[in-house]
Amino acid sequence: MATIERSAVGAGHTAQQEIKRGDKVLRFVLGERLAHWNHAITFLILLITGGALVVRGLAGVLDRDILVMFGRIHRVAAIPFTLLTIPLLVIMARKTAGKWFRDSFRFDKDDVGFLAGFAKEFFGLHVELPPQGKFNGGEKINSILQILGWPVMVITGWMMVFKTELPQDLMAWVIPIHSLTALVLGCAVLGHIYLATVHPGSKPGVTGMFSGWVPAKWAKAHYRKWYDQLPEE
Amino acid sequence: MTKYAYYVDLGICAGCEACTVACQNVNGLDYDMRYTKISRHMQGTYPNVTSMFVVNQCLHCDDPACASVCPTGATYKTSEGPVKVDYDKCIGCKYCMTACPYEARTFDEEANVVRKCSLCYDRMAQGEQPACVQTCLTGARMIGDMENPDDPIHAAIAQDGVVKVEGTSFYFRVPPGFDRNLVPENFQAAGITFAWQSIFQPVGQIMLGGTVGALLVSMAVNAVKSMRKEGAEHGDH
Repeated sequence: MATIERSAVGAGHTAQQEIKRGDKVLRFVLGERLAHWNHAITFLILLITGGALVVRGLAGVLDRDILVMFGRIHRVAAIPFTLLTIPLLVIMARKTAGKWFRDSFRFDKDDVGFLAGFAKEFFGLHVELPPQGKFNGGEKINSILQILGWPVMVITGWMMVFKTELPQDLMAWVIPIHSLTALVLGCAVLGHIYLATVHPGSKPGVTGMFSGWVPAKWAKAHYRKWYDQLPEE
Repeated sequence: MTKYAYYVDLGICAGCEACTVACQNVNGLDYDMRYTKISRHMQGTYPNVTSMFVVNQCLHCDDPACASVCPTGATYKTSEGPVKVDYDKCIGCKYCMTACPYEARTFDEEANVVRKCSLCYDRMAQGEQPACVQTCLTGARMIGDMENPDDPIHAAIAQDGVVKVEGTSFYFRVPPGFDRNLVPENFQAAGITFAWQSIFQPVGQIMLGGTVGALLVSMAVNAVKSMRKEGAEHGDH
């Protein structure tokens, strides 16, 4: 455990990564941002083009030609969704992405405390949330959903391209699993977008996914444990 | 009310495939696209060999799996029994092909739709018989109305050796000495299709609705809060 902790902190000390500059803090390096946006944009396209077939009634409203076009877009968007995200992380952001991956599955009592308190804060109640690491308990849950959901979507999705060649009994499971996982991830994404763009407490962090930098004051208030171990400029 | 049932006497089917061709003609199908397929079954060892022809096609299930999984509602069950496809709604997703237990669905690459036998529903509405029934040289095929007590179909299906494919509109007479399993098995809905429709899909949609609801509540509460805050700041000045 001690070695993991030390190496995790060590990663934070890398020259160009996770530094404070003036009133800003670097939160995401370029590779993480590119991987995030590849995953996000392709996911949203896939969700919209595929959702019409899962949410009953939607397919009845839309024109046949639109649904056929949706089907084609769905398969094209699936290619970067499948192929790009992981190479971007591995090639351009191996250290920080690796740390994110490991941290996502490591819940301490502060993460649990965060989740309990955040449910209240989400609905406007004032609560003192425990200090958080680079990713809070909620972000960790979103990360876990994406990390586990992505391979499910990719594997079942590409199986569906060959649905008439694969055994019927298998496809009878594959199609509902694909749809249900998409719905679960869709819920997570709705919450994620809301928190990043509308919710007053968390939206200052959205710049972290554009420029990479976030306000130091906000970072200190929201991710105290992460902020305190960051090296000065 | 009309309720169609279809009967095939496999004891007299001569395997001429006139039905297949007539069907292709009426439905404008390519030679390799067949709604009704005839294959020969042989048994025994020479010189004691017997054979019969087996018919495979859409059996017009009572609760068709292809219609249950169709996301656009293009495939539907008519009240008279035949299962039809509205090709203006079919998007070629092939979900029906994965659900049909009788491999009765054919993908039309050119039109990007999945085709199937409609039991010549439109022809029957005009008082005609299905093309396969009308063409059958030996009279092995018959369609009838189960609701009409005078319909000859009742006598046909009451014969010895007639097998009803449970859960479908089809009856086959299997000649003596041949196994029941040569004709399609009884319809059985996949448990997962049921689970998906009655559990997963509603739960998923409730989840999605719940998420949207929670976001709206959060948005409203925070909007009210910030308005109050602004109001208080104005009050200070």
